[in-house]
Amino acid sequence: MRLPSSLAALLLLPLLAFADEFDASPKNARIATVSAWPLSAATPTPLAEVSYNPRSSAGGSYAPIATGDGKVEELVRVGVSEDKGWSIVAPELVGRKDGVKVTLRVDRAGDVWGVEITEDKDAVGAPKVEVFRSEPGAVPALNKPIVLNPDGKVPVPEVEKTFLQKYWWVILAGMVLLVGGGGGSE
Amino acid sequence: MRLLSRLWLPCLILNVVSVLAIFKDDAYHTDWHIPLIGPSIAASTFFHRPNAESRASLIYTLTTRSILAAINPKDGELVWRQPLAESNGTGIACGGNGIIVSATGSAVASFDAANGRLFWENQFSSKIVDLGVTATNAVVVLFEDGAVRLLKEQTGDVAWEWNFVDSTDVPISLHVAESTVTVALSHISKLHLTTLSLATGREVGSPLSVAGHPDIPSTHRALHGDDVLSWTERSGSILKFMPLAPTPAPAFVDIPQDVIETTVVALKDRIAVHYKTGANSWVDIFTVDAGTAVKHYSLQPKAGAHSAISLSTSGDVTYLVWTSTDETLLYDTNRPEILETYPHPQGQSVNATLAISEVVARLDGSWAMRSFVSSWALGFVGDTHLIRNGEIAWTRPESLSSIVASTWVELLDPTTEGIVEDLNVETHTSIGAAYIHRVKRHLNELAEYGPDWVKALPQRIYNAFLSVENTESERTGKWKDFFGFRKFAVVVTAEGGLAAIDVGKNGEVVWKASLVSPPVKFAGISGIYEVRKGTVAIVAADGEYIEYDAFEGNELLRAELGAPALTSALVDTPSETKAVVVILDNGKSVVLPPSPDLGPVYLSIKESSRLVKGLRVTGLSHHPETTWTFVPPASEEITSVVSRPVHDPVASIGRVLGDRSVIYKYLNQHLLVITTINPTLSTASVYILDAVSGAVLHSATHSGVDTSQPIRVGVSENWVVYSYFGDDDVVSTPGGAAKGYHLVVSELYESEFANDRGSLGQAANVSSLTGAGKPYVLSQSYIFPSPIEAFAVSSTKQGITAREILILLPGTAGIYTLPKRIIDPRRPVGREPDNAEKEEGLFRYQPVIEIDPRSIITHERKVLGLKKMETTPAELESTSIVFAYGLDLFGARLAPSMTFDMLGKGFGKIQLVGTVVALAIGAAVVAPMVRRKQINSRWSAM
Repeated sequence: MRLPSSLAALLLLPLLAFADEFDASPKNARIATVSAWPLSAATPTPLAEVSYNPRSSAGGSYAPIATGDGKVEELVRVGVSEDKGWSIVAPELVGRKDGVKVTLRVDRAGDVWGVEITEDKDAVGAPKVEVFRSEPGAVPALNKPIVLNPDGKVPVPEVEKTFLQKYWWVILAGMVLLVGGGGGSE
Repeated sequence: MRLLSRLWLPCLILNVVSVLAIFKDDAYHTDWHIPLIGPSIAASTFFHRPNAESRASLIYTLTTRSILAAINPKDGELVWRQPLAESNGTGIACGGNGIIVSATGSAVASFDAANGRLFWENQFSSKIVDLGVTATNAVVVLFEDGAVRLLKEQTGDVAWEWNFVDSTDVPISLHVAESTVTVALSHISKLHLTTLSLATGREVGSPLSVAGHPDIPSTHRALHGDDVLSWTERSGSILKFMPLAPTPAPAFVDIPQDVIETTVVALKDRIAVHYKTGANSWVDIFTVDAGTAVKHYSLQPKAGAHSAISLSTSGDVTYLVWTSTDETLLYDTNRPEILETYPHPQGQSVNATLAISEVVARLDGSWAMRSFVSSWALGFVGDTHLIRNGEIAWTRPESLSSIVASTWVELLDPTTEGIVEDLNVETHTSIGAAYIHRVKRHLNELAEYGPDWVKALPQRIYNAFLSVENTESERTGKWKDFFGFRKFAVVVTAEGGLAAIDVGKNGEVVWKASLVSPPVKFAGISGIYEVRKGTVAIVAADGEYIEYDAFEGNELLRAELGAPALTSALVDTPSETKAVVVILDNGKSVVLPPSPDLGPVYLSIKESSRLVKGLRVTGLSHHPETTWTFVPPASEEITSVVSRPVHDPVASIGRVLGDRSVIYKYLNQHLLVITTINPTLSTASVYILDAVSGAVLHSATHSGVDTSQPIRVGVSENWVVYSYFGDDDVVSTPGGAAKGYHLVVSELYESEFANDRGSLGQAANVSSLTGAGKPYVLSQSYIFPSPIEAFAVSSTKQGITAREILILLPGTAGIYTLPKRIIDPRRPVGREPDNAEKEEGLFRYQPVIEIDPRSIITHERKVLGLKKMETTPAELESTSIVFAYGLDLFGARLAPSMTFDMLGKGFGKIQLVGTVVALAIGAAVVAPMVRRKQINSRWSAM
């Protein structure tokens, strides 16, 4: 009974690894609709469809949804849906193509829980899309545990002898031969 | 030479050690501690002898803050105190032979009455209703589920257990006699009295029944021993009581409608009933004769809403002590005539709410009387006093144990206060005119103060030499001392009291006032701020804005805001004044004082455990706009929202590295730190936000977190510290984190690289609304050997002095100061620092932070129950002032980089002057000799 299950695991392992890779491929990209919500407006209006890959920070694309001229004079909230977080940006960044970066905050499940639009001079032609995930927190860098040998003592590592320590006698013999060897007849 | 170097080394080490601590002679002088216990519970406060041999008794009390304490009646000092399990302000304490037994919640503990050492403690699953101590120090406990257990005197283990079966019975009380214990249970319209044998726990005889329908919970206070059973019926309109006798016959009295409180006190064969209405109070005395209580007489009502009675027996006389607001009356319970009247001293009235007394008849026919009284005042509940023959011997400020908020008040500078107008003239005219004005002013001052100053000079020099405290530093009242060590902390108590505490003068209370008037209960506080020089403003949670004079304690202004306050903040207005912004429950906002020129102000507010909101308020509009919302990812709950301190000056915008390059700090005044927990995954996340735009600048998720333990956060400058409990066997985290308290530090920089500002480039100004890149965050985590109750950061005037993190340790009851440079995330891990890093002051990373006892600023004192620490700068750059509150009060000075701008007390002024004088004399004597010798040598050379 134990054998088949481990066999199954062995068979599954490459598959799982494959699934992981498959996930990261552009095919598995997801799409989120980013909306803009000017401070005085009653409801948000869709701004763009952003495709992103929840597993990699770059590689998304931005497709604007045309709704009027989209120009506003006041601060604009950006987000994905009303029950999720919104952040505000200056109006001149909304709907711009150059010099703008769209950051999607993505949770563990790959869903977007917040959007930010910021200035980015490197973006030309279309807004850059970036995925922002929570980093794993810092953990204490602990010392390695000491493993005792069967006698319950700290094992003393064997220091390897240096070349000289090992072969001094060969060199010595060589020297003796060199010194002791008679010179050629003159 | 080698010997010399051997001698030098220990000296050098000693030197380093002394540099770490404050001046030794400053300990216990510049810091102060007021140990408090909280308001006493009437039924658990008593005089008791610590042991059978002792002649003097101590005052034992259990408080609503669940602290059991012994107070010395002589001076009011605490002999000992023990924090017990929290139990919502209830609890029972009893005295035995050399022991004190307490019950809070469902735990019973026994302590040595003399020194407070714990003998044993036992935790049960049901709550405790009543408790009694037998003659042999065994403890009988009545539980909420009806069980009665006898706990052994040595170990607290259960000796026997008695369970009644009927679930309709409600346990009322327990009465311990010599060899039996009687349990009173309420059963529909009857009271059952079951007597159990103390030795076996079996029922003795058949249970007695008395007709009665007690109110549960009881609406009166029973402060009697075990010989009497008392209860109220018909929602407190009838008071019944009866001595426990073989044939019980309850006596009863009708309670008049306007009576708000009745208390039954019994001692020996006397029962006293105390009635209180809003306007007056009176006492009925009953005597117990052959098992029935008979009314003896009534005492004339006394005017005044507050009074308390107590009984005391001496010889074969039982005395009644009746403490009213301005006098204490002594009666013999046999006669209705007053034996002695002790008027309280003028201006020291005591609104007694509970009293316990000891009366001794002297040989000359007079009496020695002392009462321990707990008092009530508007906003200040539970101060305790000892009244000895009418004199108030001492007072303990227990009402200050419930401080909930505090703000610092800067005192006035006597040297500039008088010439404020002159200085204003100088800043507002042209340079030339200002210069002439200043010279004129100085000449005037020279003429006015000069002669006095010269006259006082010899005295000042004399004082300075004898190390007498500088006279200037002894300024009192609203005038600040020379170094600015004195500051007022204006505090608010949970009951609505307002008080000013002089933190530089050992926590002296300068004035007290009340924010509420009688029928209204204090709704809590939204914020307290110093809005102008010498003025504090309080925003009450029910929507009231109140201004007080911080030096005198006079009310200056009271305004209704129209709706409960949700949050409030102090903001700077363009006209260089300060204004309080209040967000109201009805969706409106108020700016006080009205400042129409106030530009947009960004506030944040925690709405629920799933939502933090950003709001924008301007001086003109009364409707705050929701700018951003923070909703954490699914199944995460927000636990805390922390922002940078208001006063947080940064002296240097970058950090110079060992190779003379600079990394720039990410400095954002609007840094907001939000922590969340995810109980299902056992993770904790930290989000660093920009509070204007709501953008997440950084976030980190820790796995293997015990989410039932709190996460504490401290923020300052460009860094964040937080702590959580990491565990290796929490649910759904295989592997988990290293078990223990983790202390994480994160520092924010503009860029990863030196001499680079990342996406900010050369920008002089950056707007949160266009967002300019995310900071580069460096983090490091440490194991901290203690739980952490709160963080605070030392605060100095310019921010030049290194910062210290104050950590409140609840376990060892102390405050630990951790220099920020110790937890520097740039410390090299797993290798020794290279030369450049050494030059920066970095040293090798060690995963565990050891608590150095020399950095505990509370020294050997145990500071109990502290909740919050407030810091403020002194006038000297080196020094920060600390004030901590919660239960105890604690104040201290901090000098994180040592007091580099002040001479220590041990500085040898005489030695210095002596050396200079000796050198001058020496030079004067030697100079002619040398000159003569030189001339002589030239002549002789000729």
